[in-house]
Amino acid sequence: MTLRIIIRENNYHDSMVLMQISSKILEMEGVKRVAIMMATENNKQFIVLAGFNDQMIDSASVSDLVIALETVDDKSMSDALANIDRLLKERGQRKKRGTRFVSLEGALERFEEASLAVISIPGQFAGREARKALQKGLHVFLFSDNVPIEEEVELKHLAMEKGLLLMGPDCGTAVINGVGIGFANAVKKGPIGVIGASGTGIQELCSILHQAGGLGISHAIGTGGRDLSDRVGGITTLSAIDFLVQDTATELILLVSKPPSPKVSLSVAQKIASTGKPAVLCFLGLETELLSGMKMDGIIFTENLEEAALTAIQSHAIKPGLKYGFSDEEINMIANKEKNSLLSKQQYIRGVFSGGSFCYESMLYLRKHLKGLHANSPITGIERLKDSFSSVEHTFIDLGEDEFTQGKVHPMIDPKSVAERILKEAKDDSVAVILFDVILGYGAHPDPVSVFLPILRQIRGEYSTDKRNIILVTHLCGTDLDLQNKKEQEEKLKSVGVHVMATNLQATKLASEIVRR
Amino acid sequence: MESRFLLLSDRPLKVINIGLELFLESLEVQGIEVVHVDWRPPAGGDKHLAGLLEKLL
Repeated sequence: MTLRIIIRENNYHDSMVLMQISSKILEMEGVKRVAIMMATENNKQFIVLAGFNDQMIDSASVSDLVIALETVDDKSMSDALANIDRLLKERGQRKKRGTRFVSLEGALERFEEASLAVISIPGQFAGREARKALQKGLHVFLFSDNVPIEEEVELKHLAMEKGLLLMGPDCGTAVINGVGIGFANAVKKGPIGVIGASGTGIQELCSILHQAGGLGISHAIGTGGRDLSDRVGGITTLSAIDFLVQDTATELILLVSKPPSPKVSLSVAQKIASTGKPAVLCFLGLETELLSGMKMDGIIFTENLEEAALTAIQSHAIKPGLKYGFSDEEINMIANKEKNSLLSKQQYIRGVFSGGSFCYESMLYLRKHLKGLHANSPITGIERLKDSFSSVEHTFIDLGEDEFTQGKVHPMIDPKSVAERILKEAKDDSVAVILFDVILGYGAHPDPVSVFLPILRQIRGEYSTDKRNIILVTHLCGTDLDLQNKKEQEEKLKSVGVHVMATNLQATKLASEIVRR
Repeated sequence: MESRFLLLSDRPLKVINIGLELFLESLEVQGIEVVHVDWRPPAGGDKHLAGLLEKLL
């Protein structure tokens, strides 16, 4: 074994570039472990967890690049290092298109008409840049996470005083006037205004509105994951409501969030009710007793993303008998057919998700119908996995969580880790159903199904000769306008026997019906 | 005073992207006018020092 740790001072590279390079290096023969990242506090912790411990790393600063490698021998080490240098140089030499600045101040001064700053730098610095943009009168989309909550509160108050929107921190998705920002789907413009504390929640709502109802959206405002906590008090959500109320294109407000603080959810509901604009609210997982205290005119509460989107369509466009995808009867029919092909030891569902809200929504549904549930990011009534890499009974994995994404590209951008986990689950002969998601749109992989296909083929081919049928169930979150060509992605999945459902809820229902005997 | 919300709803977005090139590319593909900031950590990465420097400037 050969181990090297190299620190390159003042050698900054974009985190996504470094993750892509890391991935390539890990694929090289002879490379056992690799960590290539900037020495932020967060990253340093990960580097230590990855087994690289050195005083040099401790004293490195955030503008220093850490290259940590373990290889089988010296030859593999020199090959890997040469490759890293080549890839970094290549990246550095790539023709840099468009107008570029070295500082936000410079950009703000020269590009006076700017209306929005999109910020995705390390969390410890992101707040400062967001402040500069807000002070200059720009709205802000703040993708960065690990921004201290005190800073978030301060920035949101500043935004509020200036009549601006601070979307984030930890905001992955927004659509402003038809323009997708961050990870977002291409959707037609129309009368529904969406507000969401969850990126994939927003994506699912927009996709269903577009696909099921032919209804477009005016805007989708991401608020960031913590906005509806007691501490932050829903500042961005309340501003987003103001924005959508004033916006003449918006005729109905559709809001999604994981359970906010009861106090904040009440103030949000009251605010919307006071505006007189019709609204559909989906506080995923909010206790029903709390809901009953919130019955208000003009507001409909729903329990899941599909119901929220379809209710919005029905409220707005009165489409009698609106159907999208598979009915419960059709789902039961598919389940009954598939059940017969299972061996008696095949009892469990393994959920493998890149979208956190899909994992969450599935767990909410399944805890009502099944026992023996485990997850890496559990909800009440579900046990936390002792080891996120090792499934037990029914297990739900959110591959977007830190333990999977540190030092790696998020699975929405590169679904390799999803495909690999699916293969691992398929090798367990107690598994009946593997439930997963495929997310399309801006920022996502240009052809995600191509990453899954070899593994799915392997599962359906290899194991079925074992006389063991593994049932694969998915849903494609996206629209027919997305660059990935949704129809084609769907056909490819069906060609290897995957059940492609219209929504995450339908996919979850199918998985549930199959294992319930 | 005109609402700042009109910047978003009433006219084409004009964006400053700071950070990931991925987001720059997505905006360009949609035909949005966007400039990019090649951000680097300030003052050798020392946040405290950077904060002090900013107070002086």
